[in-house]
Amino acid sequence: MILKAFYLPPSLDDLEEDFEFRELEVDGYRILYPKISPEQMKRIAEAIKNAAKSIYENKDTEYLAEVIQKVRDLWMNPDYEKRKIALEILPKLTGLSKEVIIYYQFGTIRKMNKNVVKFLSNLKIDKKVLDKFILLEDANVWLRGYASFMNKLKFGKAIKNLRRPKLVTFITPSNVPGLIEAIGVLLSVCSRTGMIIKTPSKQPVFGPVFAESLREIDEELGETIAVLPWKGGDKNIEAVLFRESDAISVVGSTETVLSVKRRVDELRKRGYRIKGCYHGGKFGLSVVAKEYVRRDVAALSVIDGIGYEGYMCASPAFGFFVEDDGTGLARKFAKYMAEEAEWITKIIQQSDLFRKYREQELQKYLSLEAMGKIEVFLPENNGCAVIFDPEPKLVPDGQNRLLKVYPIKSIFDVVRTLKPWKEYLQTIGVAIPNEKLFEFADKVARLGVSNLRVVGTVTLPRLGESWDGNYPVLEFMLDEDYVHWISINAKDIDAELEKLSNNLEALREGKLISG
Amino acid sequence: MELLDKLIRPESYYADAKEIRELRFKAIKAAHKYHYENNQFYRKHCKSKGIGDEITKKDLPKLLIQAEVYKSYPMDFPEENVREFTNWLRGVASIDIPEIEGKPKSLDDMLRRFDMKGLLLGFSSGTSGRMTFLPRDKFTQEMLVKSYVATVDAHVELEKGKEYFILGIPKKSYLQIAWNGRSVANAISPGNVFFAFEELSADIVRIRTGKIKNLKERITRRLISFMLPRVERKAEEKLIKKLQEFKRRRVIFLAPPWMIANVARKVIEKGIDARLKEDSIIASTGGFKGRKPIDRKELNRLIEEAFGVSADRYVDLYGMTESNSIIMECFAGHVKHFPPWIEPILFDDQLEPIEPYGKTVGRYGFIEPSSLSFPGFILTGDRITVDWDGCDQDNLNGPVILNVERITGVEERGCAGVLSRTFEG
Repeated sequence: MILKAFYLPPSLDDLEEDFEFRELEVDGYRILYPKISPEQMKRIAEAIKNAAKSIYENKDTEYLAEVIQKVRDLWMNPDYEKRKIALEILPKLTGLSKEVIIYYQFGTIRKMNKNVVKFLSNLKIDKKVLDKFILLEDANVWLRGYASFMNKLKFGKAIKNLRRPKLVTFITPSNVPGLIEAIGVLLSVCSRTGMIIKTPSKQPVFGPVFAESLREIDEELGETIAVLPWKGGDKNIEAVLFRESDAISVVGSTETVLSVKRRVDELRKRGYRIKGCYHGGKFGLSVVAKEYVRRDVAALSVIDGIGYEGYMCASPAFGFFVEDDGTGLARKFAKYMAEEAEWITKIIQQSDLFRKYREQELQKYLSLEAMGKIEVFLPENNGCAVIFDPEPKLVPDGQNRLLKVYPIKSIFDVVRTLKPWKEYLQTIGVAIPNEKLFEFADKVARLGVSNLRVVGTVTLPRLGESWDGNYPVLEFMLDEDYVHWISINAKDIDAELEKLSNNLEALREGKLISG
Repeated sequence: MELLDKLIRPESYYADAKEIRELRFKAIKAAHKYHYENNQFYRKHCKSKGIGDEITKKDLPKLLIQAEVYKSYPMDFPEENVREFTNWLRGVASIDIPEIEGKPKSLDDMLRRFDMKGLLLGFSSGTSGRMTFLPRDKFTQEMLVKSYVATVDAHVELEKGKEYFILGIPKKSYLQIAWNGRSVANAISPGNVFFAFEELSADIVRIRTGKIKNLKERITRRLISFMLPRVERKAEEKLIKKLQEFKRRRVIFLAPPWMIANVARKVIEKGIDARLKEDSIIASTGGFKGRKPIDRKELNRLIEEAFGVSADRYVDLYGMTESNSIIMECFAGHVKHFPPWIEPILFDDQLEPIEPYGKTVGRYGFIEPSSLSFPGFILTGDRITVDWDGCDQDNLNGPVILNVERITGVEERGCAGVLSRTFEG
């Protein structure tokens, strides 16, 4: 079966005939990679810009919301052909198991419903959000912006003169296979802009099939997007494309982001009005207050730790920091995690590849256990490893289902230790009582954290949250980022935990529906 | 013990392959059982993979331990926290680790104190300066020497006690390559050994590779940088002098390849007569880590021109701190034969074992049963090319290595790497 590693608007079908291709064979699939010339890229960019301008003029938000809802519904249908293909090919290309892709990636696509489109399309920013956390009811998210006095003034002015980008270049990473491409399609529709999505070379197939779904629902909207692979950093291609773009959003490693930033900065110096939206490599952690040292919270923490095998920016790679009053609460939590992991890892299975990676990393910890420094809890099925280390430290190696638990005297103790990692902070998973949550959020926001997510949803972003301190859609429309945004993805921690704990029962029955 | 005696001898290189395979597996099974019972770390490592004290051949790839484990001690400077370092050693070792008294003055002093208690802690170091330490008790040390000597004996006939060794390694050092060279040369011809360097302390290596404790060491590092090129030059001059002294005589000259090349170039440039007896042996080990590699043909040419020894008498050796054996190039085909007591396993990028047929390239892992003090079941950071059909140029059995390279992203390390980096100006 042939799979195209690209998607072009239908009106550009003739370009395909001019493409040169290279092929990759993966278990019966022939993946066709096009080689695109700078001239072809220029034509694609111009066509998309023009199409987006005229097509979006005639479509209201209600209609666009319905389209996205339908795309989402297609992908939630287990019999949808494209979903079946994605579930066959993605595990082969990424090494992630089918269950991980269904639970986490499709779990986020499930949230791409019409309400999200309406919310993001009609963003209304209350000025008070720069002074305190404001609840965005429609998104079930608390939001607050941090800025200096001058930047608050500049932001106030800029928000009145938002520009609608005609073309956004959206560069996607390989660690979360297809999630960012799907979010790209959503953001393109919500911001009513043309978009060229660059797929990662390791996994170039999800973006194109997802874009085809949009075209299936609305042929015209299919004219506003292209999904293409090219070698990251290809100066000839990117020189043409970047000049044509109003915004360039790059989600990737720190190196990739810095490389794009350098080129965007150069173009801006030369007078190009391009907005750079940068989402580089990040590491996460989870903080559990003593009130939540419970079995259900431990199970939800396992779900966070194994999401995308720990390679998402939000993943708690630093570990789980558990408030301990000296009675061994953190160790108890680690034990709970290992026990709960027994059944969770049977349902959300891990591929052999990531298991082997863990086994490699685990050896170092086993040697420390042998000298009595730490404890390693291994579930009977060896589906993960839970490390209990009585000496808290920040080492971002909690991938491949190696879950590390550290005791802390107070949830606030963790704050000052984060400082050296300032540049790499994004998400903290939380199980913190509502009355302490905002104080905690305020402290970590000032260090650069942009997302607090209730445990169990750490690797399941909700659309309406901040993203690396910026706000989706808005970041395409502003020339500068004056504000550092932080969001908390639950109106009420206890209510959210109760809901998520109830969902665990469905998961126990094998239903891969995430919270 | 009896199994090891049957296995580790030169005759094994020529014995029936099937018989050797069976003998080797029996020895591995016994070694596994021993380490499983005596090594807490190894036991849990096995349990994490669902393996108990009995194994089948299918289990072998799962037994391997990453070489990095032997540098996973939880402190930067072991000599400053000997008790904790000893605890760590106890966790990863399969023997009793002795207690050492008092506070060592330096890292080298700590190693010396362990040595005095019968425990060799051979070290090597990566580019980060974090050192690998492998504990070897007397038995494991004996096994290492026995294994090296058996390999040499299988490849070349030596007149024990009469050979003369000229070694481009330090005389006094716990650097494993230096210990191996010194011990093996002295086992073959006690006393007939010349060393190009007097001493290389572990502290100097650590400081040189950038693991610095304080301002004093920072200054020392600058001094070392200034001094070491001179030390290297001096060592090369001493080698030349010794080679000159032994002209027309048979010697065994062993050094890292870059040092052999430097010495040969100087001999040629200065028109020095250092032509050795034709049946001399030139052997290199450790590769060019950190230095500009020299093409093998060019190295052959330099050796022939400088020392009058045919390139056929030049062999390269492949060993590592974690191994009790050396993998030696044969004189006939110049490919490296695995000693028959080593079970090599190659892994693909997905860490799946590669079927041992034809020519294959993969990450190198090995199992050798001769180590009592730690499980000699190691996954290295090297990518090697193996011809499982062996070499048809001679009658040595077993698969051969055609090429060795470092896997990108894995820290560059190795004993000769230490020598190379330490002495580089």
